[in-house]
Amino acid sequence: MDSILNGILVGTAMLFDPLVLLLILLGTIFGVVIGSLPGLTSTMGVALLVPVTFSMPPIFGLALLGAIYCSSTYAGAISAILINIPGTPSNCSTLLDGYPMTKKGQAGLAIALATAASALGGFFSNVGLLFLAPPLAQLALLFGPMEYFLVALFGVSVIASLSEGNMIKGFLSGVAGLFLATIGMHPITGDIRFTLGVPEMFNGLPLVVALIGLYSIPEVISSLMDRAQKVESSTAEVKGLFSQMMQVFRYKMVLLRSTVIGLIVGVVPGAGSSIAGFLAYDDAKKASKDPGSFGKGNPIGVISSEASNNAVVGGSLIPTLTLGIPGNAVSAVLLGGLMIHGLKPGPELFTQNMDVTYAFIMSMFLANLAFVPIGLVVAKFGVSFIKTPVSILGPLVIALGVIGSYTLNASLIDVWIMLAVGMLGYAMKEFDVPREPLVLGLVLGTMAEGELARALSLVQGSVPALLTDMFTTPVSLVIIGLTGLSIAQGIRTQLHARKQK
Amino acid sequence: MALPKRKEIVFAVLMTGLSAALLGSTYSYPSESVQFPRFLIVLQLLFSVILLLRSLRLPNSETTQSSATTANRIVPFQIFTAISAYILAIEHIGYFVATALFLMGSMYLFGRHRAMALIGVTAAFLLTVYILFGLFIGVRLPEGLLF
Repeated sequence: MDSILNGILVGTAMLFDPLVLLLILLGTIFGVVIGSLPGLTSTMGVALLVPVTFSMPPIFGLALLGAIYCSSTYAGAISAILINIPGTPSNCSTLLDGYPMTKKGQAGLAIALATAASALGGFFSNVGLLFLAPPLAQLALLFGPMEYFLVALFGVSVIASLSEGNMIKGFLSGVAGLFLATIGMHPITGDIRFTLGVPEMFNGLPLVVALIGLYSIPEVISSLMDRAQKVESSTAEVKGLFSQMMQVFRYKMVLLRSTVIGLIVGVVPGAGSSIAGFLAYDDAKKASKDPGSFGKGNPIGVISSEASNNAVVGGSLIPTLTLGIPGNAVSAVLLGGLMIHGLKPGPELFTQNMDVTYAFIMSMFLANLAFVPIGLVVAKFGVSFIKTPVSILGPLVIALGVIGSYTLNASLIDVWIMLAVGMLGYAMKEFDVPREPLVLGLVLGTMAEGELARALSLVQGSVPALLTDMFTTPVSLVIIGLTGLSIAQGIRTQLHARKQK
Repeated sequence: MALPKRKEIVFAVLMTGLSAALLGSTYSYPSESVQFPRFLIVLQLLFSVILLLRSLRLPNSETTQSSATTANRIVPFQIFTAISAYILAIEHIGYFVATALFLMGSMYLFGRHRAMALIGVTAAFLLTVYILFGLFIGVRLPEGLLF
């Protein structure tokens, strides 16, 4: 404990350099721009600036990259709330209630709450990173292929909660998403499946492109078909954004639970912040006295998603810094940045390189505060932007979707994929099939198939041996227990709703 | 909002047919590579059949007055055609020219006829894309004969 406190003091002292503070600010602005534009991801934002940090002293470079990571993860909520397109995959669950809040004329409130929740979630996960890194790092080592597969199954159980009103269609959508995730190369054998001979699909369906198509095109079509429907907004709404932000403190338990979920999911390498958002959303919905209001503009939906996806930031750095195992793609790029500056992950980082390491962690606290005023400024402009007539806004959203899809791999095939998924999304809307389970399936499918194949290969393909392992390992049993509880809760809610009808 | 019975049946039949076709297609791949997708498709077929049986048992609903007029029904077709033409145009005449044509054309199609608004919005968007994506991020956008 003494060494941690000593490290905090030393690290904080290093941040008093005006250049470090300036880099945190610039990184935050860059991260907000990258995160809020659909098609540009946090990974891309951090990777773009890693070469820029080569010539910088380590703390300058790491502070810049850390600020981009924090702010880009948050900023995807802005486009999710305003135009129903998640800026990054980690904001998928935010649009479930964020966009309905915009349609109710509460866009400013939604962004204010998302900003506050993201800042607090990120802040407290950094506390976890500071004080709980060693024991939480051991948790990361307990996860093998079997446990990852069960995490994916646990994620799938959330589908029941996302498809209230029509569970069969929800499961159809979820299974379709899981199937779409199997397009491309098999993770073990390398066989190419269901690609229709398109080489660009060998690596699978790009998630970001699918998200853009699934949400942007159907919404543009709906808006243009119903020009009478106007997104309510008023200038009165943008006043008092700070006091709206303070409303987040009415939901302390939701904040705490979502942050813990995000921290734990972040610690598990490869689980991803999209999963954290959905799990926290599901947890908040199940704990709510009014679960039926979720999906219709309930602020708790926005708060839980954003607190948890920003809590993943701190969580993902725990295995990255302590074990050299990246928690997700962004922390993998950050790990590269660390090593370029001669910093090796492991115990040495917290002893021999204590000053730089703790300065980096303390800079993340500042970054979580820095995006608050920037986010509120964006909120003011964003709320005005959505007052644009749909005859202008619609084509602009499509053009943004096209450039976002193209930018990922500089390939027009991705744009065609966006269009195809957009047509699927429109059909789903027409037939009243929820799209969120499909997104969840897409997010989880690669992990589910890959880890199941690896788990089976470890037991030489013996299913009985696999099942024995599943029911004898402590971590597996915990996850199976949580999955069972989640499914039981979902069925109970459905039966209760049917009884009330 | 509950869908009319006919629409539910159409959807269930489509899903059942699609699942059956996909299941058939899995037999053209090596079996160990399609175990998981095949399992998912069988699940999908099962859910589709359950949905079909449930739809058939629904009471005959009165044909509800669709809020979408005939003119509105054409909007999805217009959008998909416009986007397809846009993507093809990017390949042949370059990103900036294609985007300018798409933005001005679709804004005009959906009711915005003031020339200054069309040109202004298009120019602002293209400038933003050029600075942000072209210069700052360094994305190489498809070029045509002109630019």
